[in-house]
Amino acid sequence: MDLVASCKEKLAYFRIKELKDVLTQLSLSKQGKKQDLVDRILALLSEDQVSKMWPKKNTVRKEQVAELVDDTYRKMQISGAPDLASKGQCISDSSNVKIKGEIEDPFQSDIKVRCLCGRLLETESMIKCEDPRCQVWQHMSCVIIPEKPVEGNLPVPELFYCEMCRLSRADPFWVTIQHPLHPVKLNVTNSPTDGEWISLCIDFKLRICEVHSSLFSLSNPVQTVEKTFHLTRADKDLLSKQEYDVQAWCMLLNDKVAFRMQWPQYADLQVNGMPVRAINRPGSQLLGANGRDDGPIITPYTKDGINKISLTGCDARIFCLGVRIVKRRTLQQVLNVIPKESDGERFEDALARVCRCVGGGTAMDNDDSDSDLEVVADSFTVNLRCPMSGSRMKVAGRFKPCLHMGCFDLEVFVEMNQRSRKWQCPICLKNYALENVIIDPYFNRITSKMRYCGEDVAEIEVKPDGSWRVKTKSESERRDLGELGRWYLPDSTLAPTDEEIIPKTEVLKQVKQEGVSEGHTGLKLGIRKNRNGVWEFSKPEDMNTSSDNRLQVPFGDHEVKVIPMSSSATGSGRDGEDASVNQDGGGNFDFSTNNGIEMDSFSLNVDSAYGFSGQNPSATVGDAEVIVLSDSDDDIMPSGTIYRSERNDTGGINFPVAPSGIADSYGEDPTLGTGGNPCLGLFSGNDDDFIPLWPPLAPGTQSGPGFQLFSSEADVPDTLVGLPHGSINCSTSMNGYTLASETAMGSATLVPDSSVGRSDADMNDGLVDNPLAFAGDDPSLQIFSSHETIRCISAF
Amino acid sequence: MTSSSAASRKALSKIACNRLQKELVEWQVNPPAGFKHKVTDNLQRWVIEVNGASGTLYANETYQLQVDFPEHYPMEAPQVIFIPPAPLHPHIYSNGHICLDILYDSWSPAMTASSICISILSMLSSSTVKQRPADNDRYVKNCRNGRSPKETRWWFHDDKV
Repeated sequence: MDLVASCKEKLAYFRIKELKDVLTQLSLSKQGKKQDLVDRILALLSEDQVSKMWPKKNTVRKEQVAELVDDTYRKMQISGAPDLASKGQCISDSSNVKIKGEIEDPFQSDIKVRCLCGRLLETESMIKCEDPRCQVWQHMSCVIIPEKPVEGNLPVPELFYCEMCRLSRADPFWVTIQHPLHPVKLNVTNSPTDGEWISLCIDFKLRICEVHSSLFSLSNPVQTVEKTFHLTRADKDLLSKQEYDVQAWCMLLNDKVAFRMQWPQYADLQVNGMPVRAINRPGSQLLGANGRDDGPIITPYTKDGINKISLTGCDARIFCLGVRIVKRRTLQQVLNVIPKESDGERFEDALARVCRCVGGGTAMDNDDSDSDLEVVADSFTVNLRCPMSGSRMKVAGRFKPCLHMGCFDLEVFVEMNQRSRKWQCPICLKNYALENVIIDPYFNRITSKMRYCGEDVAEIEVKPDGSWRVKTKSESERRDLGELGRWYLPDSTLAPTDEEIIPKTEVLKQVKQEGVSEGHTGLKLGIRKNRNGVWEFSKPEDMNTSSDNRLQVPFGDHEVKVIPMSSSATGSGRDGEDASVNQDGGGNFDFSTNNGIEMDSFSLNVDSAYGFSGQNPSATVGDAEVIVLSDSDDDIMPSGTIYRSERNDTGGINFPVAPSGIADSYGEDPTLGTGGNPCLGLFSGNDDDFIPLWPPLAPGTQSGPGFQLFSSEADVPDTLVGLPHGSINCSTSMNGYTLASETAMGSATLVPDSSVGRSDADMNDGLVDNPLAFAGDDPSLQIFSSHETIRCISAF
Repeated sequence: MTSSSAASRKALSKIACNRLQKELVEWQVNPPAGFKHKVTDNLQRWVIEVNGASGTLYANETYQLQVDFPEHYPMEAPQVIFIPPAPLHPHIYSNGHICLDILYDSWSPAMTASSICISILSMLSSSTVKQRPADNDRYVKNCRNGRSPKETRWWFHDDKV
């Protein structure tokens, strides 16, 4: 079956939700009717339409779209979504629908069925518990209880957990040892024998509750369940130990907060005839989203042999009651469950998240980018105080699925949850379970480094590349901090300082360091759009002196030729014939020396020379040349070029590669290092078109190990990978933005990179307290890339 | 005072105590504009003076907020009420109870007394009309036994004011 046809068939099964999911992942609009959504996805699969609606076609190929559709389809089936027969239509009898469990999961030959109803037959549509160790199947009609009655298909939750698995996540301080009473549903009872008892019960309720709420509760049906459970002598022996107990528990089916207990309103729990207080809230009060009920310990009320338990409540919703033997975990035991720093998340992933949050936002919606300029700060201030304790975090914890970079103090968090049982992210308020808690490898390195700092030192500055230093109010304070006052590389190794002597083998390290830790000579680069809509860069004069010096020292023997591409079609740098830096760039690039401030500018700190500055004497032809950007010059528009820097993540994040690796390769061939910055793409692209700013250089003109990046045909990553001394290449994948770099250089039209891999609605949350709102949705924000680029060039 | 129940609450936990001390220090260094913390020796109950922002309906008016912190603060939201007379506002009942989601369901432990104050001032400032909530009388009657607003099931429906 060909791609389009098979996808089409699968898409037919999709509900709006799945369609939207797929579109979100493809960064496409989710607007429109269902058919529009389907068409939008299908259009991606037919080549000719791609460029129209989706300008960066290199980002995701057809196969990827198909894969995405396939994945979603599979997920949908596993979670028990009804079949084609019932899709979208109102078929009231969902029991006709069979689930294809066996086919979907070849490893699970026999299907475990365990349901609240007690039946073990797969008689109707079933749903499977998400927990990999559980995977029991339950009858959808037994466990999926919508808040309001729905016609047709039951709404299928994204992640379904059976009540046992929900229970085990509700409070990790209790470990289930066994279930003397498996969960049973409470029933609305109308049988005459129970009638008298119920009316007594109602009478009792009336007396205890306030009138207004009891009137309300009377409109709710009385539910009750009465069961027996058996405790053996062995159980009793176990229970004599301090950490073991018998717990009665109750859960609302389909609770919107999955991992919590909840008792019905006016819960009346009795064990062996003795009343047990189930909840602390007033009987009339409903449990809010933020509330958590507990399971009362009933050990003192139990005896060997048969025990009786009953629960009554006035509630319209459906609950289940169970009894379990539990073992108490200590705080330390719970903390031990949390994976070690190295096991929770890869450092690279954590760094990528930080870079995403600090460096710019999601370009969710290009339509919003009507402003020409975005304010970009050089670094972000991040507060390391735990949002809960208010003290600086000792161990930085987080919930793995969260997108924001805000963390909390792991121990404080776990300790507080011992009581509150919330397991809710304090930053984004999403509900999770202990199993989602990890140690943030990025921030934990920082908090460990700062362990011995004074309590008042709690803020750091983080650069878009992830390098950081402690934030101080004054220089003297910084000096007092000693090493901690200096810039650290993203992996929290100290960035070398300028004063350090640079042996040849370490030249690249030096380069890297300059790229990353540009803290000393902050040079302002102003960028603005002039009347022709052309971007201008301006910089203060002092830039060159300092940077030239720096350039000349480490690179004495290795001349660097940096050829900036002029935006004019003449492209003087084109043949690489000219050592002089291309100053006459058709007027599109004005390197004026007026100060950058008046140009409503970004102030980007760039601490070394721009290759294309004419004042840079060291930019002469050498055996290594760097070709900044190329594209077929057919596309070049000689004037009026508007461009916006595309975020080039290969550049921005490349620096954090492990320094050793780079230094090594550099040692082998020092000349190569000049090229070692795959960040040279200053690409452009306005919202509609990619208009290359500079003409290309033919690869043939490279006399040394120059890098030609972003030629019109080549994929960026490919180009990089092909390089002989590719230690830097690894960073391409490392930064997690491979996709972005591919995007960056389509030969066709380009749009500023949008949401590829980043979404940071949350980015201003939590730790980030930079006042500059980084509007996450404006791609032009990503002017950072040009910043990076320039920095790289200068580092040669 | 309306919330007798709060006064009899359990003492603050150690974490809550530390956290509140930090908040208090932070407040003293950097108090939210328009608010004044009335100094007492009671860490668990703060009384805060609110000055209506200039240019709003409540300009030049002063009210008092009473913030009671629960044992397990900040995992649980503090109870925040206006000490009567409460400002006339569509979401503030005459007994001082405030219908504001962050005080109840949307509370996050990352919030602070200071951030609550700012939210309340913003709620006041965005009001276009000085009036009580429609169900004021009924609600106040139900609360006359000193019920805490935290026991109310609030229904947050208005995101404009």
